[in-house]
Amino acid sequence: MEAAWIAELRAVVGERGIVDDATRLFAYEADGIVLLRQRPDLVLLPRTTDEVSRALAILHRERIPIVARGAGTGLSGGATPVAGGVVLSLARMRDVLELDPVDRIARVQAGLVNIDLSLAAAKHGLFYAPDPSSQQACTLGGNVAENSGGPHCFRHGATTQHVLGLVLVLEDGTVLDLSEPRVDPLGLDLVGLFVGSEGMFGVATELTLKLTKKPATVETLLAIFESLDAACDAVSDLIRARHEPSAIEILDRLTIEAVEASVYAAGYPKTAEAVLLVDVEGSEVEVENSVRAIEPLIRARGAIEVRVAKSDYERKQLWAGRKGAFGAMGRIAPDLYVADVCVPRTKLREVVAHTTRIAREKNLKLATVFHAGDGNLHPNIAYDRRDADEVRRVLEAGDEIMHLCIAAGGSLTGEHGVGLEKLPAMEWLFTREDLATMCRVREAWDPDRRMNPGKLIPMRACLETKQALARPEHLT
Amino acid sequence: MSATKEHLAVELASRVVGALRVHPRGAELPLVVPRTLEELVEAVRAAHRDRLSLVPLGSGSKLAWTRAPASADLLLSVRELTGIVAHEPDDGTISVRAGTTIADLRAKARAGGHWCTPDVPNPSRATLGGTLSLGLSGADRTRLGPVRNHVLGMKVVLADGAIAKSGGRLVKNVTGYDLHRLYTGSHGTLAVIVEAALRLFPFPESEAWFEREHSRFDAALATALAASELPMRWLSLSLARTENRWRVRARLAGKTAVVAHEVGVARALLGEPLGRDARAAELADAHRDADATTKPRFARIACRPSRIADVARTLELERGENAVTVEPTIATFAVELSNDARTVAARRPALHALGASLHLVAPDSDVEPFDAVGPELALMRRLKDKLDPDGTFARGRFVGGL
Repeated sequence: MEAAWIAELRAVVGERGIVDDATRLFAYEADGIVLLRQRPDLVLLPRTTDEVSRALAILHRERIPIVARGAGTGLSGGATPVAGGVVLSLARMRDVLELDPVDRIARVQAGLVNIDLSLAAAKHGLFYAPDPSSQQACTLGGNVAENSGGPHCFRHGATTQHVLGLVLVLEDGTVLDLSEPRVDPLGLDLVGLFVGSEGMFGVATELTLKLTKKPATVETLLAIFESLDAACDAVSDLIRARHEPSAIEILDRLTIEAVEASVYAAGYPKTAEAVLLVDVEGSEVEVENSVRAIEPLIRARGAIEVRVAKSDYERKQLWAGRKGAFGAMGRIAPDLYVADVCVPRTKLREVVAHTTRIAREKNLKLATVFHAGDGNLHPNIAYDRRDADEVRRVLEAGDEIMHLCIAAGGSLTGEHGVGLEKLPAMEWLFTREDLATMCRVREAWDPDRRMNPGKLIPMRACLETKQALARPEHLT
Repeated sequence: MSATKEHLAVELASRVVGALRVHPRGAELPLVVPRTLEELVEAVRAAHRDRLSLVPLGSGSKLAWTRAPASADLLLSVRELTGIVAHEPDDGTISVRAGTTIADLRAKARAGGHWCTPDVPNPSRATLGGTLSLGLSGADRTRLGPVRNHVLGMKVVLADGAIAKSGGRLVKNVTGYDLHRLYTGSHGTLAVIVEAALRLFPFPESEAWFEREHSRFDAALATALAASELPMRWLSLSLARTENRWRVRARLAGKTAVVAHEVGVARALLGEPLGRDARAAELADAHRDADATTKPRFARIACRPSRIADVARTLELERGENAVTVEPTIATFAVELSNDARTVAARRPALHALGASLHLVAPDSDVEPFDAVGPELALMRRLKDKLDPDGTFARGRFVGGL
């Protein structure tokens, strides 16, 4: 017979809101980082804040760990389930609750897919600016948890700059309605603190988001290089010359080949060693002026061709190639390890070249595609998870790349989060005091550390608090 | 309890450089001004050990923005912790110690070809630490958004003297929690900010400053909103009452050719610019330094942009003669208070009904400066208790007695 508390949860979320058979649970074992797997005992799919609150209150009483999940497109193991825990999927909460074109805000449920908000806002000449490559699938709630970025965050800022309010459910089911958009927070900035907390502070069920006016003009430049170094140098030059395009992206040769062989084929020349994609937006004069200033800088670094997209169609095609790059890489090998590190924009060339060396030394296939303007690198290593030795080399390379970036004044993650994947590396970047402070802040939200336990902060850093992680009895 | 210099432990007493009023209505307390980070850590540790409570501050120019503390023993200023820790002009970031004045910070950034936000009033007095502690954005918020968006990382001294950092010096970074967001605007209740890294923006090649005068608020607001719809990114856009006239003031800044074109477009609405380039910057600085937030007593009101006209009516702005500064695209008001703090406070329910918020700076002693916080106050208190369990940073100054 089913445990009483599971029956209670069933009563809260309904028959369609609960998953407990092995076949369907399989789909929740991992997020985008397939090396990290754990089958949850139960998945809940609530539809409203009230259902989330009632479910969390039951799980609080039963001391059961909870992992919130959006679309599961994350790349750091942020949504990897925890043994003996429950996954709380927000996938059925995807309503637009309010869209106010005058104040340029939208209130949405957390499971709404990123692109769907921009589609809903389009008729008012507005869009939602953060655009992760997975925006066709990822949820806005997941974006809030990870403080996600995307190519156009170069100009518009990462998710945190677009979150104006939240409805939060805390680990015990308490609902905090912080949804009213405020110019400045009243009291401590709980909303700002919550964004990027990787599901460890509670569950955001409703989001108040800033909408951005569509630019009057957008131009996309495509520059073709015979060397990746030169493309990196061109970007450092653009930053040094104080230019402000809206996106600056680089794709290397292997990525170009993969994209051109896929359905995302964008017309990138297959013989190029690197392509640089630059978006410039603003008023017509502003854009014209910028393009005129940027083009010679790029040519001066040896671009063999610089062209401006001639039509909106061509522009979209160029970007579809960039955004489809991760998917396209499925052609190179069955699995893809997506690193996500940041470096100062003055160090692009040296760090990118070094990552290439690391991959070569370890006999790994590296495809690099990255948000160059933000210094956010994605060295992608293609591998086959069935090959244990290759997996070992991939993980070693990932560690070496993180060490390399730290040495260059960089960090572990620019937009994917720490999650499980980069957990040990936190001690390379932060001191014991830094981590203990994060731990204390986390405990103010979640005293028993049941929300997404074991992520982001290495356990050792929290030992001083002498609080054992709440471990559930078996879930039967 | 309020200690005199004699009651302080030796390591604190030896650093006392004078006394300062903790609040216009508060006691005069010993002022400790450490010259190094090590001295500051030592001072916080000593206070923590001796169960004293302290109020962190920069220059101390905005102590009236909070309440008087429930009790405090000393003031601890970061004003001597100055200077640049790292400046990377080619990466567009700067990292400075908290006692650095905004003027020095902006001058340094400018030397590297950058604009540094926030463009706050009286920058040669305001320290970065104090400014971030209050979460103050500047006149350039119209284009750049709130200051909290541009803080890349922080180093703070916690209540027990431990040094902790968050973030980094990178324009993009999500490694660890954004604790610098928590410290920004926390009014010195959680930690002492000792260092911060900021994102920089291109320094404009060219500028233009416009002013258009109206006799009525509604007309000025209509002009300002029309200006906000023009195809240009204003660096600042405000309307202000001075000498009984409403003036819309707008600042363009950017590439020379672009500004030249935009001046042509804006002319039809705002007339000829009053100043170009250096003269425009001078006018902007002068008006910034005289805005309503520089008055000894004022009210700050914020609302949704669509409610500006309603809020202005609720405040009966047309009737007074006091200084008023409105930022229409951000939807904030600063209204000088004379002896009418109670009258303005009495409008709180009407403002709340419009979804607006109200903060009174230096009101009468029986007037509550902050709006009431909802059930989230319990969480704020838990954060305070986790980071400063002994109340080393004086309680009672911020919302809900934090």
